[in-house]
Amino acid sequence: MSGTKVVGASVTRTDALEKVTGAAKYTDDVKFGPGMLYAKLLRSPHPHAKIVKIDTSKAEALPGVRAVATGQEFNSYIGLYLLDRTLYAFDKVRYVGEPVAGVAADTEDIAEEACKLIEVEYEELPAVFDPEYALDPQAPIIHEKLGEYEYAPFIFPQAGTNISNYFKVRKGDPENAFKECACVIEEEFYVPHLQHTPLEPHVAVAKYDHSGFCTLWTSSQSPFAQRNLLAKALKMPYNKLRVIVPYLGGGFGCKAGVSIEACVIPLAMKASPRPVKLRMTREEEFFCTFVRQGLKAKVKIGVNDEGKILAMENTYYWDAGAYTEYGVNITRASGYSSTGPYNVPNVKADAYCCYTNHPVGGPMRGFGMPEIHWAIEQVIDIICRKTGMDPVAFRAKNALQGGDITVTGGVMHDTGLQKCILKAAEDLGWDKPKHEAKPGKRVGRGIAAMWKAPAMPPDASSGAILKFNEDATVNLLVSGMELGQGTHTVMAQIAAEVLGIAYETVRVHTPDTDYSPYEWQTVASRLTWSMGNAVKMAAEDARTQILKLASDHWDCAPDNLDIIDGYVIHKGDPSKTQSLKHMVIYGLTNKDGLLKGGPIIGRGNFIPPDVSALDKETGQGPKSVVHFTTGAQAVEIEVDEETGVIDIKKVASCYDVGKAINPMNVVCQTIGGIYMGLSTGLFEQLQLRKGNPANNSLADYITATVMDMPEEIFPSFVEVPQVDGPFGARGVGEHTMVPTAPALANAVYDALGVRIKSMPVTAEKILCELKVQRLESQTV
Amino acid sequence: MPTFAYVCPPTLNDCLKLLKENPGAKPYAGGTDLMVKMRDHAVSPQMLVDLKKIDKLKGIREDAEGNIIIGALTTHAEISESPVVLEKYPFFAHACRWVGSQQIRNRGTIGGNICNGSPAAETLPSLYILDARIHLESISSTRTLPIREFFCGPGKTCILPGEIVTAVEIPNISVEFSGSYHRQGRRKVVCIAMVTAAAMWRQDETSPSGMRFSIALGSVAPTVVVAKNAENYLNECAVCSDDVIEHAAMTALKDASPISDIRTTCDYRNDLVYVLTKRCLKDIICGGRELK
Repeated sequence: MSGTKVVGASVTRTDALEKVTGAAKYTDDVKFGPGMLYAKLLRSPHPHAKIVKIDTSKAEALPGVRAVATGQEFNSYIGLYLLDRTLYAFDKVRYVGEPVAGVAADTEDIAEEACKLIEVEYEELPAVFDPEYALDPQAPIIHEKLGEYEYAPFIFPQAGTNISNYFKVRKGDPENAFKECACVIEEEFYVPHLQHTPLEPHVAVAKYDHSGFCTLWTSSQSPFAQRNLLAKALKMPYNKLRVIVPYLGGGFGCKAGVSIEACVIPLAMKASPRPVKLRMTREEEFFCTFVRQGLKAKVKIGVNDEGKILAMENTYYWDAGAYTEYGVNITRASGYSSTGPYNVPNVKADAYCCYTNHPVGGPMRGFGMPEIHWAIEQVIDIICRKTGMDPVAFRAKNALQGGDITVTGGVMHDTGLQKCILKAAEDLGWDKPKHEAKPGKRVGRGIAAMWKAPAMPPDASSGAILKFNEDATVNLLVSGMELGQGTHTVMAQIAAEVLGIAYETVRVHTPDTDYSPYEWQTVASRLTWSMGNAVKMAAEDARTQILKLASDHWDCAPDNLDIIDGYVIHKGDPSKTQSLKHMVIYGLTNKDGLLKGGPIIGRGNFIPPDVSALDKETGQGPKSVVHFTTGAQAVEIEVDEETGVIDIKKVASCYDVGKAINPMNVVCQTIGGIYMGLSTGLFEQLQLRKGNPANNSLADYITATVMDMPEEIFPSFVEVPQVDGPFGARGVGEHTMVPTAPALANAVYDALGVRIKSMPVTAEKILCELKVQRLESQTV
Repeated sequence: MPTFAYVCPPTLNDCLKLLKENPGAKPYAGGTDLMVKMRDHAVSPQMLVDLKKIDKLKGIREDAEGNIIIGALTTHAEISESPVVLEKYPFFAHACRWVGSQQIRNRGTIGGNICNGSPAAETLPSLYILDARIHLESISSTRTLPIREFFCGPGKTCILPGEIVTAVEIPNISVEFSGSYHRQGRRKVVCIAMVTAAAMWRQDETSPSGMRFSIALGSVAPTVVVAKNAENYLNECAVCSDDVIEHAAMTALKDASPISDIRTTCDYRNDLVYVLTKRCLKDIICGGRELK
């Protein structure tokens, strides 16, 4: 494809006007009239306990209460990769905040009052709060029935233990390779639980009519996964469960899969046919849907005297929480990406998905990558400091290149990683002298590289339907969610490019599973690539139909025709032009004067073509994932020596996006990723005290504000085409926050010589380390 | 949210009468603390008496003696932009800019901030060192209390049932003086302070340096505290050298008794007491006018 018109242009977002005018509708905006009921959930106060008895009779007797649901009645399992999650707890509760019962009532107040009237007798059990301890044979078992749960074929639960997935890599001979190394560094790192804090908390409305037809309106990233998992768990035919998702007010992963929807449908079934709404308070949002898992990482890296990485031995203990139906795949991702974006011939990696009595760990932007890169990229920095090698040159030297063998034994596709590392460093001014710090402050620079693949099952597929209207405008039906990332705009650009029409004439719709085509989920930064391929196919299908009609009309070969600016033209005969208007519905007459055609409907479907299974014992296989997006980020900071407070001066970043369909969108994703990376790197931590959240409010859970952002940002990208991507594109959504935190920690070391191994890098931790440093220098 | 009665009387007398007659009633000013507490069921008033129609509780005025009287309903935004406050006590105007977010500052009032009684309140250390006086009124009496006698614990004040704060008075300072305020939260803005510190000197020929010092610290004890030990040390020094400032800042630790909580640790609060006290003192000694 030579020269594109709208692909590659920074066009205005298609949803901009709707969103700035307030016309855009979100789930909580949908009106249901006076029959609406409101739900509240009774939650477990214990991290681990047996449910001895539940008595709901007093709640049921409260005027205004229309339905009460518990796990006695709804006792099936649900899950994406491992069916270990309950709709409502039965037999046991496994985390503080777990739904034990739900009430639907005329008002939220009545529902809340009724929850207080439900009597639950618990027998407390010893709990597990540390992922490494979860592996101890003495540790209490959280899921006794792990061996009986259904699971996906690429997940390896260890029955009789707290390990719900164990991913191993055995490549080369690390034991001997470490002996040849000139420098070996082994360190332990810690990443706390986080919450995604989207502006819009989870909200869902379910209506179950007298015929047994159920409609679910929900703030979800995954309408089809919702239908799949819920219909299976509740034994409904798939075509009797309809999922409608309006615009989303952010998700960042916490609205992937299923969470609160599993509680609201049972209530709707019992309160039929009245609609039931369940919405999380901000306080609930922090620990009752999904959180980002905690991680304890042990990383050991060895290099030879030329600065070449020879071996890695990494162990990741994921603090995955009480249910790991989704989290098991984060463990897998951390395994097949366990080396970071480097060419490492000898690898031993063990990734454990550990049950703990913490909130349910789930997907969050980066899907394990910000966590493992926090450790890997700091160990690399330590090696560079110790051996005197330049952190930029070292990374560029060891960066994976096209043709290299990855950690799982596959061949790396072409990638611009090395260019990204050098570009980020150059934009930061890595080789230039640092500016002079203000008195009492120190300047530091740090860099980190990253890679990330879409973590998904090999059969995660996409569909697209493209319908023309009489005036040649287009309705594009897809089910990838517009959650702020700009996917609707990108899809309009792809369709418009293929069809030779203006992108503004393509309206992209939010999904309704009854009318929209299948999409696996809006996760894994996979839409531009996967859904983009489906949309491109749908547009090509429509284009072929249009050109066939015109070629029959003019009695010429379709090869001579093109579509430009909404007109079919004949490349050899300027007199032949035909507007798309009218013909895309009413057809054209052929040379015999017969009317041909009819409404043009394009169809596209895409499934990843060539991902293979990995060996259970070695993690080796020809192709572990569809592709890796790579990149790097460099950070310059100023730190106050007396308080430890960090000012972020500059961030420069560069990612290999294959092809930027919308360059402005790539820049915006990058800025957003830097924001989130800095926020998690500097401030965020869900404080859990014996499983109880201590800071579940936006007053106490600190996120970055605009005032905490860098003074200067240099976002850039390189374009090494993805051969199977639409116009060469690959995803770049999550990636942009992956290297931020380790680059920051490396900059702190550069400024002050102190190493912060537990995220976040707070002022307090820096000062504490500085005091240790001063004491040590005094004793020397 | 529990149910409650809402009234919005036209006169102060009506308000005070309702508060006296209804022990379950609470005065409602900006509501920025009250609404949050009600939602959390931390307080459950049966009646809210909205003060917003009482104009005499609003605004900032300077009387003939140079005292500044700030009505209880004056918002933090108004104080931080007030020409008279900016001119006379810029550090206090500056402190008001640290309260919450712009929206909170537009809504929250000085009276409410004081009555909320938080040891982390941004306005209080400055009001302590300025020897502010709290004006109180009930249906049957009026009284004035020095701010240092107004608080008895976190969230606890010695306000009596039926009584409201009507104004805060900053007594005129007729001699040379200089003041400063520093605070640190967990991020740059819109956050509750981990430690606050305010310091000032006023000209006083009886002290060896010619300056008498006041220092107040917040978020390091159940109430804002006066750093007596540090004040005494400074008031006895003849010159305010860097060493003296250092020592005074270290001495301030004796006056603080911080705890560890979800915001930070006791240790870090102590570190901040030292640094912020030092920064305040440097501001007022190096930035202000040396007297002798």
